[in-house]
Amino acid sequence: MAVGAVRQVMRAALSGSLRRLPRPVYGMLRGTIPSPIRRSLVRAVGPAPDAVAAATPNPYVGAWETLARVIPDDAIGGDFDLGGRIQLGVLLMEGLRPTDTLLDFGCGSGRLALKAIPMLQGGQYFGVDVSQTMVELARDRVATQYPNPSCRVSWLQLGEPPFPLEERSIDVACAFSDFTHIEHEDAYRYLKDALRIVGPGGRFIFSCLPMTLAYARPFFLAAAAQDFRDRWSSTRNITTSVDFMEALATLAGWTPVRWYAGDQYKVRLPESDEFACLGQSICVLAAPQRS
Amino acid sequence: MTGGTALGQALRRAADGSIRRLPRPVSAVLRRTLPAPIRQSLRRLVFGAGPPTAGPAPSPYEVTWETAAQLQADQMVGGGDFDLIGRIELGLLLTEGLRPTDTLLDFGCGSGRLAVQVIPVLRGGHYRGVDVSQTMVNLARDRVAHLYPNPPCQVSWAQLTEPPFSIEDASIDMVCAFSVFTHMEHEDTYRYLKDARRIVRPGGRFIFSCLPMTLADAQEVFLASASRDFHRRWGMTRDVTTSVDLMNAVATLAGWTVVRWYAGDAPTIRLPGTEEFAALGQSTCVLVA
Repeated sequence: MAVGAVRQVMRAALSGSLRRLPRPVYGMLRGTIPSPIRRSLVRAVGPAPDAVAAATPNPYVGAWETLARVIPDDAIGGDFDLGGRIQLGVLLMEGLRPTDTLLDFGCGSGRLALKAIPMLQGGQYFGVDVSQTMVELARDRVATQYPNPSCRVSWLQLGEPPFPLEERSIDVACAFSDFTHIEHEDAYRYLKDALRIVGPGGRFIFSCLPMTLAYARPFFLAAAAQDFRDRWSSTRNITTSVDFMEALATLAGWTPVRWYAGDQYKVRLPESDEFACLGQSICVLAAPQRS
Repeated sequence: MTGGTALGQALRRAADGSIRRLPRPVSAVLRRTLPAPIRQSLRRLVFGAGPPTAGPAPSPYEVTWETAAQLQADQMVGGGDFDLIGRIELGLLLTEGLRPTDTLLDFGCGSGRLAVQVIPVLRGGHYRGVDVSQTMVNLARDRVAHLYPNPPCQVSWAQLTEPPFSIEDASIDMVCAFSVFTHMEHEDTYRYLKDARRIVRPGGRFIFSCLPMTLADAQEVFLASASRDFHRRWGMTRDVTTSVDLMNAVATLAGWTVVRWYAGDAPTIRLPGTEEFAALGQSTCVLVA
């Protein structure tokens, strides 16, 4: 790739006229530059993080907004298509019905939305993300694929709890790859408020990275290789344990129902007899029958 | 870009400190390729000043603990009964085999709660007190100097804001960290445990306290912390709770073997020189190298 073109693209990104780096430029960066340095480039190209941070009481909004503007939108979080199918598979196994209202908390660029929306016949899909750019990417992708969706579709950027949603307005809430990036206390804050918006007997399904997973430990070690400041200077990976997540979910008023270990092929893919695993472990919580 | 690999290699070597300036051809490529703000941010990162970030202030531990040490009456630091807690901590170390001639590293010595109890026991040994706050170290040193003008063991003090410990390999018999990992991220706990493995002799022990969420006290601490948003949480001394499984995993990854736990709410620790048993409040984990 011509050096001049890279430079032009970088300038466009810096001036804000380009929302994110084109794939070939990102690919070149990935092939050339070690990841800590690449992250600093990503920060430089993204919005002024300090300005974003000043407006929010957490570092999450700035970090994810920056990432969303820079990396190709389907490069977020592994295999885009398969990941979405596995996530829908869990929701179906846990009883998601076509007429349900589904809250997709941390919708990203639409990985689950693409799979769940056609299945929700007469229901409602609610996509929420900490990054406005991410929400727009998901919205555009869904609008292109499903000009006439079979259910109501709504979108929302949310930087902090509480959810601006009515009590008991949600049947199933899911949070894939959310609690893997925020402090346990923040996971608690969201879970606590989610209990309010989910009806009696409703479900909250989230993924996380317990240290029992071989997959989780490299994330922990990579974070431990950085000092506090660097750790929090871009999107942060957080690992946990099953007993810790159950304890905080219980404190927030939920009842842990079951786990799908991230390394066991227990999730049936929709409309198939194949089973898969997500990589992250998935925990299913139930709201009290009468709240 | 031709020579992409060479560029990556040069940047890596600069980032890990093995070269102090970028080779001229690499600089030239960067200058041609990248706009000035990006190049500057790259330079800051490669040469260590660190970029401006969206996160909280640089390592908040030193700032918040130094502030706490200066604001609080020194006996208040750590809460609870200053004398009793120190005796319980010593009781644990004795139960776990601390000998008079041992070298003990008291990591997070605070204002000397354990030091005043353990120094008279270490006859011919060595007490090393380390804390993130210089004021705290000074408080402990003054208290010990006042109480024990002629201590029966070597006594040394140091302030330490980041691992590694400035201590020789295999020179410590026992490390203890009371109310230390209750205030930092698990990744930082790992960093200290990893380096502690280096300074402890083979068969040496590391004894630390923490707040697993199974303790009612830990749940209260967690809820208080969750009532604050991220920046307020880290704008003051931060309480961090955990679980037994998570701590076991972190310690094991750092190269330690978990020996046993003392639950924080079970009175199973013998107070030195008595037949009484007490509980520390925080749970305590014993590791062996």
